[in-house]
Amino acid sequence: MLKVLYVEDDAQSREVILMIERMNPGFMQTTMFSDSSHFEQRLLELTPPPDVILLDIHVKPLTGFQMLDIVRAHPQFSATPVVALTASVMNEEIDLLRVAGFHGGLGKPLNIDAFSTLLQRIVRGEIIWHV
Amino acid sequence: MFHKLRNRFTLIFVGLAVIPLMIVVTVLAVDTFNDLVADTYDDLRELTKRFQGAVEQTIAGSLDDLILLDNAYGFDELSLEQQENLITAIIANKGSFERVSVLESDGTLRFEVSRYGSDFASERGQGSERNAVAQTVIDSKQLSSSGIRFDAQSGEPVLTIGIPFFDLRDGAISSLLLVDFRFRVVWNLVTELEAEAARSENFSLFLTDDLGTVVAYSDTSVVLRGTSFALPEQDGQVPNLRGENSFTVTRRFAVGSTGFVIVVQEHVANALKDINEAILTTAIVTLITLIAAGGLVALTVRQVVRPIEKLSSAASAIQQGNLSTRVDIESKDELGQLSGAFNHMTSELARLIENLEQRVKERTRDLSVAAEVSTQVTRLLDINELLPHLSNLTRSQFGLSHVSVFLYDPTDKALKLAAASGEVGLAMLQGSKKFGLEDKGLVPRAARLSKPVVINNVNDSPEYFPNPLLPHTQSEAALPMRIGERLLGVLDLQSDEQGYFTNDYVNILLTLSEQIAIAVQNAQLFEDLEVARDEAERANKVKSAFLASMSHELRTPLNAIINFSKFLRKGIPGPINEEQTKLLTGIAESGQHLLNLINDVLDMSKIESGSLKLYVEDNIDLRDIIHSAVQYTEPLLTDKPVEMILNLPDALPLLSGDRKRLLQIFLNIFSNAGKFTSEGHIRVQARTENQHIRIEVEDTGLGIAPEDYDKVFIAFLQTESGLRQSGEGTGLGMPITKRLVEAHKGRIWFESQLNRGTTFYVELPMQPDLVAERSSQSA
Repeated sequence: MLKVLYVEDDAQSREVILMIERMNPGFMQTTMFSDSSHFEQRLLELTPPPDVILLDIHVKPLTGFQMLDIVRAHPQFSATPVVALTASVMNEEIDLLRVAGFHGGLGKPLNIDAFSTLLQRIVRGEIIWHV
Repeated sequence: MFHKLRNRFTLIFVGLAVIPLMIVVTVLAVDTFNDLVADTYDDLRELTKRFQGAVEQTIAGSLDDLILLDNAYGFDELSLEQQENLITAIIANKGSFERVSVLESDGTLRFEVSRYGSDFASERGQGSERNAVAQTVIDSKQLSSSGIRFDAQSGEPVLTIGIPFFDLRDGAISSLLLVDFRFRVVWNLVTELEAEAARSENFSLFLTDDLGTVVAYSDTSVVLRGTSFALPEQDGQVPNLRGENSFTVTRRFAVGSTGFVIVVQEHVANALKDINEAILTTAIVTLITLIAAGGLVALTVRQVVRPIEKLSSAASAIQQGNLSTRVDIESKDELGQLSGAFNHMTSELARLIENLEQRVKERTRDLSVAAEVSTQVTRLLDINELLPHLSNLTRSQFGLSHVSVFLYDPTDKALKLAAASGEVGLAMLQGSKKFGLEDKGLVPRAARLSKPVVINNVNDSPEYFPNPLLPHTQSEAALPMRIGERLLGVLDLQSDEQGYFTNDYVNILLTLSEQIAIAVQNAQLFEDLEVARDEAERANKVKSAFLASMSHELRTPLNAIINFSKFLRKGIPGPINEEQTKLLTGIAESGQHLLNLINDVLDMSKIESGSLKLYVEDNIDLRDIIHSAVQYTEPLLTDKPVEMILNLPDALPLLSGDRKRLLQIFLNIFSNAGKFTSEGHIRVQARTENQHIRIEVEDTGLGIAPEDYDKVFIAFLQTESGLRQSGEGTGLGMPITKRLVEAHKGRIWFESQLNRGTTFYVELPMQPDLVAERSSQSA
């Protein structure tokens, strides 16, 4: 079972992830942060540590980029894929995301049917940009 | 040779002077010669006449005595002795007879008396010739004579003359005298005459008989030799007895029946001696005259031609550029005047040229300075840099004491100081110096008149208002800076020297000010451009930000709408009935539609603003993409009798492109085909052609009317037959698809027949040179 950390301030979006969980029983288990306050602290407190981190970019107080940096700062997460979830499809942002070092990006609205497959592939090491 | 004046004139003069002279002289000479010759002949003829007369007289004179015998004495009446005595007396008296024979009328000898005495009758007395004469006299009863013969005894020439005596009573010959006339008498005569007439040694006078045998000549040996002279037919030049060519005149006469020819000759050379002398004299005189004439001609020609030559060569020299050439003709005549005028002209010319050269030099220098300032100034686009640089540069390059640049502000009709040279300039700028358009002073006036205003001596001009900061100014020029009709400002130039701004100078400076105006305008335009560009960029950024946030805001709720409804339809929260399913499907589809719309709008906006980016991967297999697109499309066709047929080759060459966008292309085309086909098929074929992959999508749908062909790829236009029916299109699908195909350097087109179907063609190059960001990761 995949341990997933999802930072998302939009309740509906969080709901969608839960839907995906129910669609794919035993596939994943998600820890939700509804904002990015005390991100680092909360991240480190997670046990077990997540296998994959999903970050909504436009959260506060820390943005997805900032959170990414924090994850990077901790060697125990060096192999953990960090995926950006974003409703924005502007080139500039996508570029920034790629450049920032995310292991992938999934665009909102999510494709709930394909999600599990995509996530598996990402966990297996593929870089997927499905924005 | 004849194009030189000197030669022509000389020739003319020679022709005029010399040739007539020569002609006259020649004619005269010839005439004189001829005259002299004629005279000579005349003289000679005279002589012959005289000679003839003399000879005749001599002979006749001699004979008279004998003839008189008959008349005076009745000779035959006398006794023989008396006759003899008479004859002897006559012979002794005259000495001109060799002998005289008296013959009877029948020719027999009566008696004979010779010079040597009467006894000396010889047998020789009855020579045949004498006989012949006697016979002739008897026959003709007239005096007759023989030719001249040389007496055998004495060797002297004699002439036998037969004289008949007639009987007075019956006229018959009573007796006959045969007289041997001693021709020596004639000799003496000849000698006398010759001596008389001789002008020189070369004069000859002699007598010949009919045949030319010389019978009397001063040189008796010639006669005694019996020399023969070739008698000429006419008077002319023949050799004389000494063989010298002589003017020869002959005269024939006869004494009795004896013919004589008088020959008078004058040696040609002798005769011509005079003539020759005359000719020589004439020739010498002529020559002297010629030389004199020649000299005169030369002198005259020289007089005339030389000045002309001088002028000509001076003109040549000047033509070649030697302007210091002058002509020194001193004469007071027209040539002298001409040379004076010429010199004057040359001086003027030299002066003018020098003047001109000087001016050209100055203007060239000024223009090059102006050009240089212009070049430097037009390079600067920042107006804040441009104007100060300009002021200082102009000041230094033109040697001015001060330069100010005023820019015109049309909003308050003022000329505001924008830049000024030097320290003074800084002070002026701080004071924000400005002029109203209607103010007094050069600067506003130049602006009003749109013409340069110049004061070359400020002390003289009432218009000048001294600037306390610039007390040394002596001349000032205000030049308007204009572009066409528009006034940009005024350039104010000041100098410490009076009279600095000459007309020529001002013209150059005006050119400069035009250049400056252009430079200022360029700078201003550039500034405007920058501002506009900044604004555009800002607007763009705003737009992008707007779109970004809009897309974000719109999509986030759609996450819930689409996925919740999908989730519910899956029945996971609980079973749902048919109606619920239908409604939930509607929600999902609407949501999807909205999402599509948002995506399309965003895509279109990216495409329009040129910020569409392809994330290029290599080695894409189009068959995968097409299969995926088919998968997405098939659900749309479930409730329609439309079959999707795939005719793909086993392998297609791999190409480079943006996977997502390629999928989008085919999704669009397939969904379009699906939308507009209610029955039949959608057949997808792909093949390789040249360096391209060509995909054909053929449907049996509604087709596109010809009048709608242009609308297919235009945003937001849908064909009549289209949107009404399906209501799903955004109107952006095809335009976006086209752009995407073109972004892959491909082509898209279609063929259609109304109510039969449409076939879309997409051609993608296998090795496109895609300018796009290549993702470093592969999917």
